[in-house]
Amino acid sequence: MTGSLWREARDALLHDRLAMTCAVLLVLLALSAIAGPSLLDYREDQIDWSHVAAPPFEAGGHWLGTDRLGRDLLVRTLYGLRVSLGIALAATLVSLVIGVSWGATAGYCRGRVDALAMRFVDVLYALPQVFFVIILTVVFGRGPLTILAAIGAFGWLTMARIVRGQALALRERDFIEAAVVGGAGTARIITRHVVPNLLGPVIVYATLGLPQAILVESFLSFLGIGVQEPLASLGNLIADGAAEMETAPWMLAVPAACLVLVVFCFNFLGDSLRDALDPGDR
Amino acid sequence: MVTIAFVLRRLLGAIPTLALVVALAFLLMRLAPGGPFDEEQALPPEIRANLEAAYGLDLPMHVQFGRYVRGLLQGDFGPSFKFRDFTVGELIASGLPVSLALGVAAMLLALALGVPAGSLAALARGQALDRTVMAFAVAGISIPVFVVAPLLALVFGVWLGWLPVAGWEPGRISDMALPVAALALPLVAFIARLMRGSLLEVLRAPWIRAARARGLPERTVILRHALPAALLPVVSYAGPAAASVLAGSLVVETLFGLPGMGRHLVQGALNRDYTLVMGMVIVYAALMIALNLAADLAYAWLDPRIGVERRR
Repeated sequence: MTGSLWREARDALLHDRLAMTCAVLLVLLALSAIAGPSLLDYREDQIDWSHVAAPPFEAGGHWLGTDRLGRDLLVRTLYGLRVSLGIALAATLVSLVIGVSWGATAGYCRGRVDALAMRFVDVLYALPQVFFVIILTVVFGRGPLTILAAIGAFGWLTMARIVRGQALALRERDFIEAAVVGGAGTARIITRHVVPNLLGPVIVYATLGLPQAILVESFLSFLGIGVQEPLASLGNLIADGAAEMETAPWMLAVPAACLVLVVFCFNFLGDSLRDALDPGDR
Repeated sequence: MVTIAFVLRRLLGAIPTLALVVALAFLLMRLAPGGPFDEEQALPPEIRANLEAAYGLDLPMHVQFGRYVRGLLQGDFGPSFKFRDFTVGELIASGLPVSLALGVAAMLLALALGVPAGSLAALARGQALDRTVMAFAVAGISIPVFVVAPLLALVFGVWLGWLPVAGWEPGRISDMALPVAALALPLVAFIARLMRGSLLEVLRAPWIRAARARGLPERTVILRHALPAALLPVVSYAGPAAASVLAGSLVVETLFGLPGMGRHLVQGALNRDYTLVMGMVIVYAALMIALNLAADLAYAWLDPRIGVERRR
């Protein structure tokens, strides 16, 4: 049964041309973020004094121009994308692990454990998250690790709520009861019946959580309290570009376009995944 | 029905949240390795000790916390560590009106554009207008404030030269135009999407069919019956919207050089100015809690079902 759910979801996705385009674009962007900086002629921190703030397609093999220190903008943007994606992936993984185990425990155990666990989530939910992330960067210093931890520290709340709701609802479903009546052990019920049904929403919200993490990281880096020079992230590249936009608008356009493209693709893919994996909507 | 008891209960419910914000902010700030007086040039230990004594940093943690909370209750946020001539309270008092003006204007603009756009899209479902609005909405959701704001400044400020890209004269509308637009645009997109979905759902409801069956003109059915009900999800979005506007105001105030709270907060975070960051976060949290509360009350007032459930 679970096999057909996944097969149907896959078919629905494969027929969604825009979603597939987004997925392919994301894979290509991720690959070039990983491999690009080492394949291209320049390094991300290499200064080309003969081409300072050069516009795109003009000089010395700098396809997308250079910044005010003569660093290749394409290489820096890909490098920044790698840092932003890396932080977002790690933060999402952190919130995935905490969120799923927290939510599943609350949902399965019900009763007092559930009440206590979800009360804690409610309390953290009520905090102004962005501002606490800023406090965390003030306290633990700016840098990729702090950002990662700070985003992960709040990112798991939504996941915990969703997983708990699913787990609670799943316990009451007939097919679980049927499995119990059929003599299946708890472990088998969990692995064969509960987890596969949890996986759908978990994948969907992880996909939708990734662009959020990218946005929070870039937001902080834009303000100067996130990733610091000489390390690049899409956020601080956009901030650099905004400072130079009157004389060198491409410095703003290139990283901004990259960020918007990545966030859009993730959001769109997440929405399509939700439509494909949510049996309730079919 | 919004009864006084209901309002009071919600108000009381907000207090623990605010208390938690204060306690957690205080605790985190004091956990920080390194102090506000860690500068590139190390201070002589005697001067450092005197400075710490002057700010009460040598006292035990719980005494410091007690002093801080007592101060807060009297509206005293303590001195700023870096802006030595100002108290945090003075910085808040100078920045709050600017930030509030920005935020309120952005929310109103977002509502004024988002609600009609979403409604028109729902009424023209599947047609070109609907697709245009929705394409704009999807784009708007993926473009964050820190991209919208510099782009608007570049196009309308630098290239076209219509509006100033920096500066702030109290009451001058042209100074507010770009920051407010930058804050509002992502919200417009979200509200339009929300409004479209909600109106489509409401229009399928049996009581709308009943209104039509009574022979009411389509105008009345939509304006008097469907729209008010469809607005409910938008009202409950006020809380998240406020959070996004407040976070966005940090970007907008920094970029356009506006003397609001957001810029003070960013400066404070860059300088590790504990009291300033703490004070700002507490005020921002209070604002968010107040807005959530207002949204709750508005929702209860608009949705008769909540009153019915409470009477049972």
